[in-house]
Order: sequence, then structure tokens, then C-alpha cells
Amino acid sequence: MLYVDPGAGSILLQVASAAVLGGLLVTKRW
Amino acid sequence: MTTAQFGDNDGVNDNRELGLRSWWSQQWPAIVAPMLAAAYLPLAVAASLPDELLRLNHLVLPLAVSYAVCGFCWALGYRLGRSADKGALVGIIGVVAFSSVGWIVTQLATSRADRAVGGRVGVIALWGLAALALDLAVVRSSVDLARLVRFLAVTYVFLVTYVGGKTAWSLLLPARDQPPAVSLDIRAPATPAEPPRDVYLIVLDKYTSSAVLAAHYGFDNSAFESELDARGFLIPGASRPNYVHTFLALGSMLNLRYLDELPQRFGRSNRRWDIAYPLVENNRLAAFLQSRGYRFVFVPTAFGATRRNRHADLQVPRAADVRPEVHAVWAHLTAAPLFRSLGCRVLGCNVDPLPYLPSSAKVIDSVFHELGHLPKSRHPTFVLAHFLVPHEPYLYRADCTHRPPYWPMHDDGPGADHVRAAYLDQVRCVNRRIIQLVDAIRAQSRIPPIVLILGDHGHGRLGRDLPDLQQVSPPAMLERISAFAAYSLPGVPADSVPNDISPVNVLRFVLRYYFEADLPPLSEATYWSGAIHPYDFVRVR
Repeated sequence: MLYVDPGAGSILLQVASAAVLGGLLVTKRW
Repeated sequence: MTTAQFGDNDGVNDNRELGLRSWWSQQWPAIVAPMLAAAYLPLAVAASLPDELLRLNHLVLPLAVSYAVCGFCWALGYRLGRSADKGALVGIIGVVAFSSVGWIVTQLATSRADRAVGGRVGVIALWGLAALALDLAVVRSSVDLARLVRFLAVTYVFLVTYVGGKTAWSLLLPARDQPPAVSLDIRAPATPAEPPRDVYLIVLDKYTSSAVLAAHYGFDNSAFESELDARGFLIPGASRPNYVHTFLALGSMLNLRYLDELPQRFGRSNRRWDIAYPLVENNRLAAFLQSRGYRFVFVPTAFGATRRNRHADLQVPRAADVRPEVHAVWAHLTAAPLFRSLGCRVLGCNVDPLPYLPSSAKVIDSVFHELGHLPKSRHPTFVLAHFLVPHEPYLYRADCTHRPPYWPMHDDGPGADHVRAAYLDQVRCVNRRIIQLVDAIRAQSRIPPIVLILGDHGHGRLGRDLPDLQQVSPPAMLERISAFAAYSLPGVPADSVPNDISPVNVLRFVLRYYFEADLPPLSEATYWSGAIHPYDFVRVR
């Protein structure tokens, strides 16, 4: 590992959380 | 307000404005979604970095390239699909595929899937084809994509707000995170008999021993050794490393012990290097010297294990100035290096991609200079400097002028002579810099300092990834486990340093001799491990 690892897990978690929020907002479930 | 009140001309403007407004209210997601998608990865990388490695201007290049890729794909999708929504989706697919291909290649490297598709090139080709197929499906689609694009736009608003906010916070309110405390279990009197001397530990990456340089390269290093000898250095001719990887060699010497527990602690089949890096940052040697009132000066490098040291009282240069870390990590994740090497093939420049973004020769020059001119302190000084030379990339000619960075894929084959010449040139330059540094250190020291100059391991010319022992010829193995060493140990009789002393025992000797520490010598040992399974140690000497 030659870099500071941005953490794929963290990026995937961000994307998944944002997608859930985005989905809820677009389908007007809140 | 009606248009009749303002005449015809104003009516046209108003209509246009209304048209624009209605267009924007319909189409905003098709503009906003790809714009945010292009910004997301560079900002996510920036947000993940420790504050001290972050600089705002380092984001410019990743953002510019991301927008160029996304904009190009957007325009292509718009032209082929004749809809802004299709343009947006093609733009997002393009930038996501571009931004993740490096990560996919790294994840699959050395796996069965990687071998099945023909290695790195196969993985990249498949990834590109998958993106193209998805693009084609979007362009030819007859369903209404507006809702999907709106969903993506809203999702990216959340993502970019989060990582953008985190990055802005880091830049505006940087906080240095605290490293863990290091347990001090070295028994030594609180005040040794001698006044404290400055200690310089200078690690020269991949500096092979003079004996092997003569035997394998036909290179006579005796002029350099004579210059060091004239300055009072002892030169153990059969010095050998304890481990054949830098992070293990450093982890071991800086903690004054062998790393026998690692195969069990991490598992012999573990592939991760970075889990052992804390051994380098949180080391016993620096902790001991700091407990004795030393100022700890650390030289950060582009190599992960020595990227920064949070225990240091002073870092030369500042860790963020070693290289643009956002740029380095982003390049590693994306297809940017691939495009660069393709461009190089067309333009005819050096096509071997560098495995990582190194610090520039200019940065290395300034470190050599600054270590010889450190700010004065009433405390004794401990300098830990790991120089990434004479290791590749080859950055210097023999006279220390800079050359275009060169990091060959292989050390053997048709390019072997070229590689050997490049390595020897870099060794010659390092020799010149070391003599200048030693003279500057001596000039700035009130009492003669302890100066330890050593290679962490030798070369071996085994390509970029060190193979397992079974795949290594005896001469290559010997070359790798023969490292240069020269020690200035004021007051120490020459015959008290064994000719085959290794770094672990040299540092134990220093603390024993100058600080009366209870650190008896350990038996000398050298362990081999390949790059894939670095903790699968095999004792070779």
C-alpha cells in the first residue's frame, strides 16, 4: 500500500446511504 | 405584469426567459447530476485524507480531468441519443467507469479472475466494454429516463454535500490527529554518563553493499568509502538487512527487535502491507529518544510506511509538500495513468508507467539540504530520514542533475544494461549528496554526532514485485540481502562493531553504548518474503 487508502468500504457506504436518501426523496416517501 | 406593457422586444426576452426557466425546471437533473458525479471522486479522496496531507490546489488536476471525461461523454450521449437525459447518463457512466478502473485492477490483481481474462489489460478492456454496452443500452433506450436522472441528481447532491463539506472542514479547521502512545519498555538510566549526541539515522532505500556492487555491477565504490573513512566512519563490509522489504526492515530496526510475531498475528497468507505500517510510525527508538529529551525530526516520503509521523516534533518537508496526495490516490483509482501511457505511446515518451506518484527530485534535493541546516534547538536532535533513493524511480544522473523519472517494469531482459547504468548513476549521485550532508551535519554539531547510514536492503534486480524465495536465483538473493552500511560512532573502537552487523543490532548497540540501555545483542538473522505474502518469512541467513 503506497497511498493513503480512501477506503472502498467508506465510499460504498456513502453511495448506498445517498442512494437510499435520493430514492426516498424522488419517490416522495418523506 | 404582461408583455403588452413593455412592448414587443421585451416580450421576446420575457418569453425566452420563461422558456429557459421551464427548460431548466425540466432538465436541471441532466446538468446537475453529471456535474456532481464528476466532482464526487476527487472530493471523496480529499475527504478521506488526514488533514495534514490535504492542499486545495491539489484538487485542480483531478477535477479538471474528471470534468473533461464527463463532459466529453455527456456530449457524445446527447448527440447520439438526442436527449439531455441520455447525455447525463452516458456522462455519469463514463466518469464512474473512468474513476474506478484502477481500483478494479488493483482488487483483481493476482486473483484467478485476473488471470482468466489475461491480466491487467484484459480487466481494463472488459471494464471499458461493460461501460460501452451500458452506454449503448442508454442511447438506444425508448423508456423515459427523466426519473432515473432526477434520482441520480438528488443522490449526488447528498454525496457531494457530504464529501465537499468534510473537505472544506479539513481545509478550514485542520486538526492533527493524535497517534497512539508507544509503550517504553527499555531499561536505561535516566541520565547517562555522556552528554547527549545528536543521532542521525539515514536509510537509503535499496543501496546494495559495495562488495556486491563490485561483483555484480563491476562498480568500484571505494572512493566513497574512503571519503567516509576519512570522516571517521566504520564500514562493516558484510552488513546484511534483517528483512527484504522496506516497511519490515524499518519496523524491525526502529523497534530494536525482530518481527517474529507478525506471521502469527497477521497470518502468513496475508497480503496487506499497510497493517504493519504502525510499527514504523509508533516505534520504540523515537519514543525512547524523545523520553530522553530529544527533538524528533522526521523526513516524510511518498512511500506509505514513511508518509508521515505524527510523533515527530518537526517534519522536513511538511508531509503535504512531499507530493499531491489527492492527485496520487485519485490517479491510482482511475484510468488516468492508462490514458497517460497511451498518450506516451503516441508521442513516443517513456511508456513504463510509474507504480506510484513519487516525490520529485527537487523535493529530495531540498531534504538533503535542509537536514544539514536544521533550525537550532536547545534539545539534542534525532533525525529519522528514509530516502527513496537509490531505489527507483531513477530521477538523477551521476552528477545529480535531474532526468525524466524512469521506473522499468523489469530489471532483466533487453533493458538490463540500461537499468544497471541508471541504478549506478543514482548511486553515484546519492554518494555525492551523502558526503555533502555528512559535512553539513558535522559543521552544525557542537559535539560529534552519531550518524548511521544504511541501505534497508540490496537491489536483486527482481522487477517491481519481489518474488517468493523459490523463484529467486542464489545470486539475486545474495544481492538483495547485501546492504550498504557506514556508521559514525564517536568513541567506539572499530573492532567492537562486527563486520556482518545488521540494523537491528546496530541500533541496539547505539542505545547500549551511549545510553546504557539494557539491550544485549540479538543473534543475526535475515528473513525473506515475497511481495504478495510479506509475512511468510523464510530465514535465509
